[in-house]
Formats: sequence, structure tokens, C-alpha cells
Amino acid sequence: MKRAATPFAAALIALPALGDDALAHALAQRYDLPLPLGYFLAASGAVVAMTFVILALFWRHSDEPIEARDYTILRGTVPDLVVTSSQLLAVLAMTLLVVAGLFGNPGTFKNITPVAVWVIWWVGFGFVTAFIGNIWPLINPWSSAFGFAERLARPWASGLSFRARYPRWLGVWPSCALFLLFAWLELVAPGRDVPRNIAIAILTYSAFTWTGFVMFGRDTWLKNGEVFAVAFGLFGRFAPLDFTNDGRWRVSLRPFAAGLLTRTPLEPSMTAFSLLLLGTVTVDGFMETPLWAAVVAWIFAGHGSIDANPWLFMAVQTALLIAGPLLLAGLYLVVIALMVRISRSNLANLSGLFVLSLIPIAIAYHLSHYFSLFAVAGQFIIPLASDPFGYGWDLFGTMLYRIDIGVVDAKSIWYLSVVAIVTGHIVAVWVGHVTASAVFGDIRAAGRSQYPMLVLMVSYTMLSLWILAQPIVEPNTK
Amino acid sequence: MAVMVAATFIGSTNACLAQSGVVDARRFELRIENERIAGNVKTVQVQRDEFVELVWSADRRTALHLHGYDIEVTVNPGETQIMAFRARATGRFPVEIHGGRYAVLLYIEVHPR
Repeated sequence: MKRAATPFAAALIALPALGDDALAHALAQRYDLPLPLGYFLAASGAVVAMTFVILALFWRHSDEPIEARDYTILRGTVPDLVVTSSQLLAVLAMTLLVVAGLFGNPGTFKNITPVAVWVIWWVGFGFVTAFIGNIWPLINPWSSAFGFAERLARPWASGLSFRARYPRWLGVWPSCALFLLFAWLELVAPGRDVPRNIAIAILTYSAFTWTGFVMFGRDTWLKNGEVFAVAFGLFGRFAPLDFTNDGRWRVSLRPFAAGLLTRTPLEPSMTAFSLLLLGTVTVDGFMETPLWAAVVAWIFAGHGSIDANPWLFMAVQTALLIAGPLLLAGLYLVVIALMVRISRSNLANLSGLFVLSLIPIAIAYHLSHYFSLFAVAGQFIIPLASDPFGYGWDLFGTMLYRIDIGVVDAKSIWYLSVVAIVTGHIVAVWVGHVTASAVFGDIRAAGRSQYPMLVLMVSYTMLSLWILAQPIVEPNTK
Repeated sequence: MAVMVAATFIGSTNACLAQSGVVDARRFELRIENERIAGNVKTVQVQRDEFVELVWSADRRTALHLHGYDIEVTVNPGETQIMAFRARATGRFPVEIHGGRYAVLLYIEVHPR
């Protein structure tokens, strides 16, 4: 999403919008300065030092295993009126995005759909999910629309679903496949900034999701096949607000990251989904580094330029997108295999228990990577709210708003990145240790079990930091 | 003072600023040959709030776009074109050649003080 639509993409799909090509690049672009060496070293030092501090603390003070306990601080109920009106708004918003995408101005920045989907929803709503609470289950427009339809149909039918038995072995594998496709559309596909393409993608996915609801029942499909419910659910485990439904929507307040502590191992498919999510977050940043540009140039040696050979470029990017998560999964399984050797547990069990401890590192990196994009490109929603279709309307008098690229200073972003990365790492190490204590019982075994995991965590954090310290470049083989 | 006022409204008054000839501007002479910058310049670094002048010349007609600050010029052979602005926003901003291909020619890095 951040990198410019590649030249061939422009040639393929931006023809009707040639006047906008300059702008079409802008959505794709991040203007972040690389993290300077001093910040990089300070953060790296802090990461390593904190790892040992936490390790030392645990050896001394945790004599008894930490059982899964209730971390809830406060409880409440979300009023039905709030839920229903939010659902209505979400359905209307999605309808607006589809209609604007299909019939509005084809220019990326003259149409509300690209900015609303990529920046406001995927990045902005993602932040809300991780740092405040996952409200996606409350407002999910596909689920809401289906719920409204079931309510309307009530006089004639008790439900709109066949409720076929969902095969247990299938787990969240459908979501894994969908997430890989989504990441490909976000990071590789040409034309991802074109409003019409986004609208078509939303319509296709809607049809797919509603088919899933009809076949297996809404709740079953939301748990397994609605990829955004699964993804936001994972990020939302970090957040302080937890939303659950027992007929009414309940909300509870808990400390950050408490939702990542679990004594029940994740299903293998959910472990795979988590690793896929973690891997793609890193691949996303890695694709803009000079190292990757050099790799692309090396592969292209003798094959002409990217423009001359766009399919090769797409194939190379796609290969990275698949190889990145596979590499992470491989390393993770090696670490878990080492853990298995010193415990009486097995690979499936332990791999399902510790994968969540890596989530804080990914969230911290995600925040550092995307915050300025959100702050800068997110401003486009202000003029676009007044003129969502790009027809020249001025509904709220904000159509002429000019975005301010200086809204956040690079220094603030650097501080934010360093603090986020170090904090994310500390939380990850903490979650790993609490989980290990709960699983292994014996604190010494728990401590020992974490050595390989700590190596993985430090490496993963360092890789994130290293990417942030790289200047953003576009692969160019000319 | 007039210069300061003009410089504050970059974007709309670049031409104005260029013509007025700011005294302390950081000036970079950039020559494009064969769609690359002569001397293999890849990055230009300036400090926040400096006045920057990028003086372009080219061996063929070239349309240039500085992203972020959103300044466009078209350079013809035998002439120079100036992108002038106050570097009020930090970041790493690409200059691309438009028309046909969209290769990044140069990055302007505006560092915080």
C-alpha cells in the first residue's frame, strides 16, 4: 500500500486517471526518515539490557507458578442503542465506500474509498483495535447486515443459515488463505489504489463472507473464516478493553497485554495465522529497504528493467511475501522444538502457547512503521468527507483542506519508535515468562525454557529496529 | 520580511520565492543525463526550516515531481528550472520523473534540528 503503484500498474489501470498520477503515488508513499544511528543503538542496548533485567527478576521473585487469573479491573454493558446505531453506521459506511468506488471519481485522492479503506480502516482502526479495544465484533458490517437480514426474515424463517457442520480440521485455515491474499493485494497487487478495484474486492469478499454465514452459521464463520474478525481478534488481545457477547455486549477493562496470556494452546491453524500476521508485518517494511532493492536488482541482472518485466517483479515480491512468514514459522518451530526437549510437553501444545508472546513486538513495530503515514495520509479524509465521490461537492466546507505534511516531526516519530519497540519487547518477554511459569510449573525449568525464545524475541525486535533504521527506497533496476 | 511571508506559503508561491532570490538558501545544482543525476547524487540532505533551491537542468525534456511538498517543474534542454521551498516539514521526499516511467531520481531528506 505504501509504495507507489509500480510503473506497469500505472500503465495497466491508471489510464483513465492520468491527471492524478502524481497523487496516486502519494497515498502509496511514506516520507519517514530512517531512525538515526544513535536512536538505533540506544534502543538496541535497552532491548538487550531489559531482557536480562526481566530474566533476573523472574529468577528471584517468581517462586510459585503463575496460574491463569482474572485480570479484570472493571466491567460494564454496552447499551443496545449504541450497538445497533454503530452497526447501522458501519453498514452505511461500507455501502458508501462500495458506491463511491464503483461510481465516483477514478482518481485515488478524489475518491474517499482508497484512503478510507487503506489508511483510516486498515491502519487507523487497526491501532484502535490494538491500543483501545477490538470493537470489530460489535460493528462488523458483514455480520451486522446479516443480522439485520435475519431480523427482517424472522416472520418467515428462524434463521438464514443451513448451519452445516463446520469441519473441525479446517480451523482458521480459510482465514490464513484469505489473509495471505489480502496481504498480497495490499503489498504487491498492481492497482490497489484504484477506487473501483477496491470496491470490487469489497463486493467479492462480501459475497464470500455471506456465503460462509449461510452455510455454517454466522458465529462459526466469524470465528474461522472472516479473516478480519480473526486478525483484529488477535491484535485486540493486546488491548485494555475486551468485548464479549452473552446475548448483550459486555465490556471489561484489563491491563494491556493481559489478553495474550493463555493456558489453553491455540489451535495449530490459529498458530499458523498468528505467524502469518507477524511475518507479513515484517515483510511489509523489508520490501522498502535498500537491501531488498539490491536483491531485486541482482535477480533482475540480465532481465532488463522492472518496467520491461513487470511480471518477474511481481513474482519476486510474491515470493518474499510467502518466504518471510515461512522463515519466521520455521525459526519459531525450531525454538519450540528446543523447548520440547526440556519439558514433557509436545510441539503442538507449546507452539500454540507461546506464539502470542510475539504479538507485542509486531504491534510495536506496526505502530512505529505506520504512525506517520496515518497522521499524514489520514488527513485526506478531511477534504474527502466533503466530497466522497469526487464530484466537486462541499458537504462540510472542508473540500479545500490542504494536508499538512509537517503535522508530526521526525524526532517525535523516532522517540515514539524507540519507546514503542523497547516497551513491546519488554511486554513480549513478560508474556513469555508468565506463560512459561504457568506451563512448566517449576520456575527454573520455566526460565531455562525461555532462553531460545529470548534469542528469537531479541532477533525479531532487532530486525524491526533495523528496518526502521533503513532509508525507504523503491526497487529500481535501471 | 516579504520573503519570509512568501516563503511561509510554499506551494502556492514557489515561483515568487525563486525569483526573489533568498540570500541564505541551500542551493543544489542538479544535472539530469540519461534520466539519472550526473555525479551519481542519490540523496540531498538539508535541515528543517532551511530555504532550499534545487536548480535543475537536463539533456532532454523532463517532468519532475517533488513528492510531499508537491512541487512540479518541467525542464527543457538548455534551460534551468528551480524548485524553491522552505523545508518546514521533516521527512524523506522522493523526486520522480513523470511521463512514461516513474523512477525515483533523488531523495530530499529534511532532518529535524
